[in-house]
Amino acid sequence: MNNQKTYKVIHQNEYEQAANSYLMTVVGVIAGLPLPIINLIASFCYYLAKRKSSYFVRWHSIQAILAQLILIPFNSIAWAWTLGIILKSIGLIAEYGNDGRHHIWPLLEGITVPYLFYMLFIVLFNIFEFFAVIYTSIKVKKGENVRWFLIAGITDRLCSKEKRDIYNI
Amino acid sequence: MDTQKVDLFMMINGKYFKAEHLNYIREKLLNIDETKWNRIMALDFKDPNSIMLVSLIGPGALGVDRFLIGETGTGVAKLLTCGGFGIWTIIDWFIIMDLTRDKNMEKLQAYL
Repeated sequence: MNNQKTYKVIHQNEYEQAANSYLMTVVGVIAGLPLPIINLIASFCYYLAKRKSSYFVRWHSIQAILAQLILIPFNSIAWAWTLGIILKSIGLIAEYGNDGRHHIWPLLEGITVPYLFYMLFIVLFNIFEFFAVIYTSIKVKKGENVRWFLIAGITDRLCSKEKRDIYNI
Repeated sequence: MDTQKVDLFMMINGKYFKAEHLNYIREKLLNIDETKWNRIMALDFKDPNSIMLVSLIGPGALGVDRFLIGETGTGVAKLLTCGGFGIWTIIDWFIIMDLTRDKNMEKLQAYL
């Protein structure tokens, strides 16, 4: 039985392509700052463009998508909460708007302590994720295979080991 | 094909292809018929750097970069959506060079 394993050499260009999958989500922040889902869409589109690339590039593209996916539920709740406060205030202003007084209070009443704590958590979480993505991008570009806690295991399952780049020999 | 001719081709056109594909191209070129040499040398490859420049400046947001590499369908889609509302434009900054190299590879593959 032949136990000798053959390891495929990863080309420098592939490191760059893999690093770009993380870097693009960072640049996506410019376009998607008010709507954090834009980053997820951008990462997914990048994966679609690279789905015929080597395993290394595809694996990191999927990890970049999952890294963005973690943020979605938290950011969506923050958005829903904020919109709820604004819409409720607009409703109150429409109801009592003609009594000749200022109506800043309905908006301020909605901003509760739990809301402020949650928003602070969201901001810190997004900043942490932002720097984690930049760090991963730099490390991957240097040729290190950065595996995120929990996400890497899911990525292993999701990423097909099929050789799709037939020209890479 | 003659090794010298293959080396000449690789020297002139190497920049139009992905670095990881160069071994494949070289091996295939060495095995093909001499009669295909003229047709291969006459192939017009797109320069990834020029396409990247177009993508970065104004026309890129309207899909001109896609038209240039021969992807008319996606070019029209990008034009109609004003660069996919900005998102597609950003994605293309990162992928257009490799996409151009892939298109060049497809063009060459027809003769290999």
